[in-house]
Amino acid sequence: MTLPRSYFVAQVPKLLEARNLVSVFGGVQALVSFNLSMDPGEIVALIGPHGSGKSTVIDALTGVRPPRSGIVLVGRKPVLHLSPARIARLGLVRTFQTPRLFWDRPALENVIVGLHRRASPGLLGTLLRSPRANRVHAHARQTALDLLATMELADCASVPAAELDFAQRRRLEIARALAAGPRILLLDEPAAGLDPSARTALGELMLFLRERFQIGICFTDDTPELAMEIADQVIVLDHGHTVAAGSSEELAGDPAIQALFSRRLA
Amino acid sequence: MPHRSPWSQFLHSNGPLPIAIVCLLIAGAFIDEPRRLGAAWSNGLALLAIEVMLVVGLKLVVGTTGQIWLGQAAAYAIGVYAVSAPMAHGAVALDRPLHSFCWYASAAVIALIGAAAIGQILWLVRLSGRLFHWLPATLLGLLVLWCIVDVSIVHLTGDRPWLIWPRLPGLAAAAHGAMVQWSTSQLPQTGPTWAGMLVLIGGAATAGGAVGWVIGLAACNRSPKALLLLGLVLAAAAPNVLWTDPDTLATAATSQAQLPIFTWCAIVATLAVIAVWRVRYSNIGRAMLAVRENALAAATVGVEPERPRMLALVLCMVVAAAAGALRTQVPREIGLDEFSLLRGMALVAAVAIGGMHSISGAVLAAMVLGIVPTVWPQWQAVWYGALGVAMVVMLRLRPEGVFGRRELWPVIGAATDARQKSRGEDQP
Repeated sequence: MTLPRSYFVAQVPKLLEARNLVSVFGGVQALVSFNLSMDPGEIVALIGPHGSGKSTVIDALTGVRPPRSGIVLVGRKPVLHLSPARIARLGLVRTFQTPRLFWDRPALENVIVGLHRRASPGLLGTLLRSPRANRVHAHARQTALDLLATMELADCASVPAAELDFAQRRRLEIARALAAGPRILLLDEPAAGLDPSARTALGELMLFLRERFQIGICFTDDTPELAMEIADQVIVLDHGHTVAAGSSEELAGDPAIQALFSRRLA
Repeated sequence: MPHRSPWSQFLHSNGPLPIAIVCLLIAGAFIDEPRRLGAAWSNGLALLAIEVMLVVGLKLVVGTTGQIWLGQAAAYAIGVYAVSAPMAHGAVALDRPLHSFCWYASAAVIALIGAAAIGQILWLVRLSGRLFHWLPATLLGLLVLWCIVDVSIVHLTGDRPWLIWPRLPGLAAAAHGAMVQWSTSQLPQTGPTWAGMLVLIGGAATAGGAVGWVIGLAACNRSPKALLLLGLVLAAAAPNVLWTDPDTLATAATSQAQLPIFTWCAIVATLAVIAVWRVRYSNIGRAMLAVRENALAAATVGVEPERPRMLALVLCMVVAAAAGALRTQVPREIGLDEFSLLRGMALVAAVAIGGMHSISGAVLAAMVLGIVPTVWPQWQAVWYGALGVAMVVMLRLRPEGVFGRRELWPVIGAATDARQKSRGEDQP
């Protein structure tokens, strides 16, 4: 007997799955029954006006502000009760709306911190400076330099993060997140404050990162243009409710979405 | 930069260590010789080396991970107690290294069994929460009440065979004694004093590290106030424990010099400084700094904030307890004020004045600020007051400390520093 293809598709676990997430802050429902599922290598965009609950989704998925109820699965592992660091180790790594870097440290060191999990030779190796520890440190440094080069920050390796401009800070934060070995990269409003050409470059960068590192990317944005250009799946939020969800082609001419953004702009 | 293999890097980075130790042995042969400098000088310099250990260890906690820890003098007291108590009450001695080792190993086994039993009880208590959410708190309260009732009965009416809690320390002591007797019965009774000193330092450091680990478990995943509070509790408890055990304090205070103590203190202090340096300028140290600067950002790239904090605390207490073990062998009277809260605050002040991010700053501050209480102990109280004023002035004028982030490295090798900077790394 040959099983139908849909049987196998149903058995393959999603890389990330969130079901019925509900977040409440001070009596206000910031997120209502939110659902998301991501396959490996997929780009998902969460769009909506300011205050629609996009960052709340990222916070809930990464354990920064666990939701009041719901289920989050990475692979098949429930992660709702885990700390942000444990969730990051499972491959869900994020950036912040306002970059949170280690400001006094050079860019290279910022990235090396992201490699901490994969490049720690242990206390004894560190104390004795064993050959393995030297190898690990050298490898970490080279990997960090490669990541900086990938993000076009090779010249800034020795510059403290505080001295970088805004766009460079964003790229440095992404480089640090990539260093942590994500399976899904969650970018919170990566295009905020960028001019149109920089937004286009950011879109190209996300497509490049997906190809180069074989990762899924979930990003938030308060305008629909970038999402419609590069995302495989778009979820539209408003006041914590999911207004629409589907592929960018499906939602491209949706009058409800156009009305939502034009209303907010007006 | 020419490529070097990891092994040549290993030899290159560890090569200066034996050279430094040989230099210290030569200097020690001069300083520890009573006919040259005199015992007062060698003891004073040994105490300065101990001060350096205390401040450098503390630098990891206060400077690198940004926690507030006032229990460093108490950790020092743990080291003194961990060496003096077995000397006073057990048969531990410098010239009986194997016996001392068996004593500490047996104590560790008993402590592990006790900790496992307590852990099991607490785990069961926690598990009971699945039945009713109020059950764990109730059971914990009942356990504490039971313990208080048992101890009260002993104090009021004398020992009773059916009491459990007051008998546990006696049972543990008896089991420990039996284990020591069994393990040492076939071993040589005497050995070299240097081996005995190594065992004592190891025993004290392990005790300090274990206490640090327990405190870290309780405090490092909570707000900084938790560690501050536990440090205060430890600082209050440590002198009182020593006070209630005069035999131990007397043993520590009257021990005679059996070793070239300056050499020992200088070598252990040098190793401690190198260890702290290597941790600070490694990936572990970067994680510590990251947690200090932005714990949430560090967590979102996989760094558990409590781990670097706890590691720093454990290392700090290991170094402080090792310093305490060395202190018992310096033939100078030990006063309880060496372990007071005031001393703990003075050590924090030394880190703050030297430079929160600078190891060489901490070392120099320890040496400069430690001279007065070491050489002129009668001026200690006035000196602590002056330190307080200096700290206020420093926080106003130069909050990052005298050295700030700078190390002495650029002075020693400016070219190396420039090379490191051009590679975007911190100093080695």
